[in-house]
Amino acid sequence: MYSPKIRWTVTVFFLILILGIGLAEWTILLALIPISLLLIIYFYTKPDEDLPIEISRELDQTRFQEREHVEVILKIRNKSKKDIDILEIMDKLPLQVSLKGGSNHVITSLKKGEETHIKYKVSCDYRGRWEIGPTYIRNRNFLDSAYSTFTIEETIADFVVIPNFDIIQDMPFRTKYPKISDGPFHSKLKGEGLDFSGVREYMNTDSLGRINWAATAKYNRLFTNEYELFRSADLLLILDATERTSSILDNQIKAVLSLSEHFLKYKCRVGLLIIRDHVDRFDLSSSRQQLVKFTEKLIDVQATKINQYKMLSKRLDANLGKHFPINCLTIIISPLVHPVINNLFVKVARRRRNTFFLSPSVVSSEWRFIDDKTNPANLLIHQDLLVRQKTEMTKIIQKGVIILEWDTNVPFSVFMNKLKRVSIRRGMQ
Amino acid sequence: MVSENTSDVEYIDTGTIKVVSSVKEPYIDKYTTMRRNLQLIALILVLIITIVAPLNLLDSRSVLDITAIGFITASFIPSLLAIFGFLPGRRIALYTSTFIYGVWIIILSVNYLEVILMIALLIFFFEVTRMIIVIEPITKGITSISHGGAYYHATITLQRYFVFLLKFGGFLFGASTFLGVLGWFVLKPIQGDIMFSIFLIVNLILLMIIAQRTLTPDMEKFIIEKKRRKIEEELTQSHSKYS
Repeated sequence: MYSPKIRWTVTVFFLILILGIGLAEWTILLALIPISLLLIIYFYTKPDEDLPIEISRELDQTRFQEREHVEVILKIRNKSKKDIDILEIMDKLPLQVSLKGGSNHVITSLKKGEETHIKYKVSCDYRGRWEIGPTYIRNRNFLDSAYSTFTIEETIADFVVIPNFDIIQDMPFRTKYPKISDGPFHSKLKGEGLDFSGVREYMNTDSLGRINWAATAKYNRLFTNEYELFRSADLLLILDATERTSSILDNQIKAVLSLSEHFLKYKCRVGLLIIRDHVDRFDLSSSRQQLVKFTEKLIDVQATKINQYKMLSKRLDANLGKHFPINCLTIIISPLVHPVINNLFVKVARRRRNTFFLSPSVVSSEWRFIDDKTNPANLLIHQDLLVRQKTEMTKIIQKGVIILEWDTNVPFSVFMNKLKRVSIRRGMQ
Repeated sequence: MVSENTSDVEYIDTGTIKVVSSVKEPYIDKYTTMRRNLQLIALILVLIITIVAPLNLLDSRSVLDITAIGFITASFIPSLLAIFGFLPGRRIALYTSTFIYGVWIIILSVNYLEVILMIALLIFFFEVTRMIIVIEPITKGITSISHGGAYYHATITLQRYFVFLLKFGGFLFGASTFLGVLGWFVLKPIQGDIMFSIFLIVNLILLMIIAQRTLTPDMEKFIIEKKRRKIEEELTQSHSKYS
């Protein structure tokens, strides 16, 4: 295809022609000689419509973690019998990845049979299943009078971005209904067990082997090490993925995966319910595959609008009643911003024996993206939203439900750790 | 980001010879030199155009001439801006200076070969400066663009461009001069009216060729369809049992 440059050159050509004839000055017409030659060169150097070029893509793997940097390599080989003057290569990237190093848009020149590699780095910003490619190619001549474009579909590559999660060090929750087997939950029964809990004064029933000799020497009295028992329990996570959670859904998913990973590590049975316009259920299981199953599902979860709340309520009841024991520890992960959904969850929480809410704050999460934080109008809106949020939470607390409010600016693992410390200070454990 | 400058031969145990390229000069240095050379070429061209033309006006002091000198001197600044890019708007600066120089050459050049060569110079200046503008964004703000780096790609493109530039310049100036000299002997004796007619015919032919070659696909489709309808009509007429 010819570029607009030819059009402009032809226009100039005829303008000079008209000027020369109009002014009856034939020396002006002499300027047409080099311009005619230029036009001839323009046509003569036109690149071929067919470009035998081989492009292949190298991706180390197809599954990546969120925020992981991926190196993409494109191998380009000129298979034609001619040199390529200017080759413009543009690799299409999905919107959900961002360029971190190099460029996906390169201009180069290739001799016949020459091969070049293009390397660039992208960061996988958002969980999901995405597609990289196709590669667009534009072959131009040095004078930029003509070009031919091609789309190389063979370079399309699918890849999956898995949501990230934090590793929790300490778990602040307690369950009212522990099981016999060992697990992450602190038991009220102290004395026997394996994990060090503290030091107390020696009693005559204590074993001599448990005497803490360092403390005894320091205080000149006998001290005994105290150990505590850890028990496992069933855990049900309910994830709110309704429309108003869209801005915080990623954080919620991170929390779900972090909690699941922690509990599954201790062989607890973990189940998951995802509340959208339909309910996705994962039955209780302590298998290693459970986390993989959760992850596979959560890769694609997007917040959806709910039209039939009654139907959703029925589905939720049916799923909960049939598949999850009433005693199992239930954690509802919801920002608590939709009154109808909140009522639904409160109903669930009150019906079950061992439930609390983990509520990531939408207001603080969205406040992060406000540039002008000193603007009075923004501040007023922020205050108003905070008041509304607090009102909604107070309403729920009044119904006798525990809410753990998570400011998403703090990483989930840090939040859990802080929560643990608060619990200890309050003497919960 | 280094260039392969020297190649040595290395003998492997099996007896085969392997050519090993060793690196010497970084591509960034090579690229900078080549770009500077291009800028120098463009600067020399623009200096020639700016200086040569006013020489015609040494004896003349008319208002038009002084205005023209003013314009051409003023257009030296946009041309410098286009070449060195110390301010934004390089493309516009290039078009502006080319336009002013073009008008200047066409209107004020009086000698026969001067018009031809000066226009050829202007075309050459335009193409070289355009390439400088095109090649610079490849490297700007990018530390490493791909295997070998951004400077590698820019350098090899420029290396090949220089070869092309030699051919392009050779053809443009050679053919222009040849046609000019030929025209001097052939066209000079011919009367003005006849020469205008010749120019008109040649240009109309050229226009037809250009129009044919630059047809857009939809226009091509339209013409093909028109031809097909005509052929169909002829076939119908010739093969019809009523014909």
